[in-house]
Amino acid sequence: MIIDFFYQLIRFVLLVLIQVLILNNLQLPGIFNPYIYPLFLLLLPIRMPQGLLLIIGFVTGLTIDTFSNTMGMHAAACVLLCFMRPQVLSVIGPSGGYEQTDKPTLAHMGFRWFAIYTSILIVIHHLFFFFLETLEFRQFGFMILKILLSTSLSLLLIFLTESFFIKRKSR
Amino acid sequence: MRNIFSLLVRYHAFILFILLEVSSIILVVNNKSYHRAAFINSSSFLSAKVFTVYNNFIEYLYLSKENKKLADENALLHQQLKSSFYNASFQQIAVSDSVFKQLYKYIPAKVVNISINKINNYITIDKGKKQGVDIKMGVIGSDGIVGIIKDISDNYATVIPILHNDFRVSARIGTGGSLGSLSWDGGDPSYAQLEGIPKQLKIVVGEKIYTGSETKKFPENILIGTISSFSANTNDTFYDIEIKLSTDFRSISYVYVVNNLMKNELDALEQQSQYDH
Repeated sequence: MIIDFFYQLIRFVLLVLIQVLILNNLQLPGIFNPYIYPLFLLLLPIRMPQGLLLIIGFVTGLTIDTFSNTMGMHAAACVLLCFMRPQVLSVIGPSGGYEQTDKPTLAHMGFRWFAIYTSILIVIHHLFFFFLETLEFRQFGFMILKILLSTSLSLLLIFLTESFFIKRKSR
Repeated sequence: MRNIFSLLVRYHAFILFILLEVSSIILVVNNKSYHRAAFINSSSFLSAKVFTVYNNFIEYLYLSKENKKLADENALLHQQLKSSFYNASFQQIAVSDSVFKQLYKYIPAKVVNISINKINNYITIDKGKKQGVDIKMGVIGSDGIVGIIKDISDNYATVIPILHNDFRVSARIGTGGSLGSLSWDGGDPSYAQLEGIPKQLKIVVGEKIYTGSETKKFPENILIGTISSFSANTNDTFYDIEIKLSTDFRSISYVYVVNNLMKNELDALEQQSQYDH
């Protein structure tokens, strides 16, 4: 239990640092804004109470906001992600419900399940975030392209990160 | 009473969701107006510290490039020193130096964090309240203007660069030409847009754009960029002008905060005139 808590904490710190120090500073064209930190929220235990989940989401979002001057935008997107997470989990879950030992990871649940789970939630998160960012913005065609490309890049990064852990475990 | 309580327990997740979502949105909306909610931004202690540590590490990779840039700038400044001018006139009337009063002071600062690929980008610098930086001061780099101070903490400050949706500065074509307003459309970080230049004026690609005289944040005639292209829309009275920015935001690492020593006096005077109306 305590070990698990530390794992989550380390994962949180690592993902936040990767996000704010590396991904936010990538010298890519402005159309690519990948976000990898939602992976932390995706990998929280399946049976976590929803209230706690929402609060963790809010704090995570605010942390990213602090570093990237987006003030509340990431927090709003993360809270929405955490609110939708149990719904998505129950829709795509196995017919008999989840086992006590199930973890929402690529290594544990397999590629198909993880692909659906991640895609749905990341799309929700990115759509809402870019929607908040766009509110007062002029070029909508550009924004739609930006959402598509950034979401794809985020998903790719998340899959790469997760598949890295699969290999490590099977060795 | 018990019903209300059981209702609360049953829908606690939904209520919490609405509560957190609303407070996030309030933060977003508040941040749109200047200088509010300054407690969460990259000039706050923890995030500024993380950026500084990281930046100190990364800086080594770019030292040689940065040295060359600083040396170039030094050379340029030396050229402008009084000692590097030759006095061509023999019969010069001695003018006391007190005629020239210092109007602008510059505070050098290091960039500890910068984003360029968002719609609203920010720069964090390592000088703050204690070093004399104040909100709404202008920021320039060695190649031209950079932005305006938004929030300050004791030792750090955040800057709204040209690459921000809310950034506006009055700009002038050439040193004596007509005035327009410079803003950025959120696209390429090397280009900004100049509006408000009437079509009857002749402009040429490659002309230089400088800061105007009525902006109190920047000294007059600081370089902004050069005209890279323009188009004249038939049913509009103004040109659409693309400006190639002289400041390269991808490689910027040292800036100067501009302190206008007479700004308070100007502000007070203008406020006075507003009351009179």
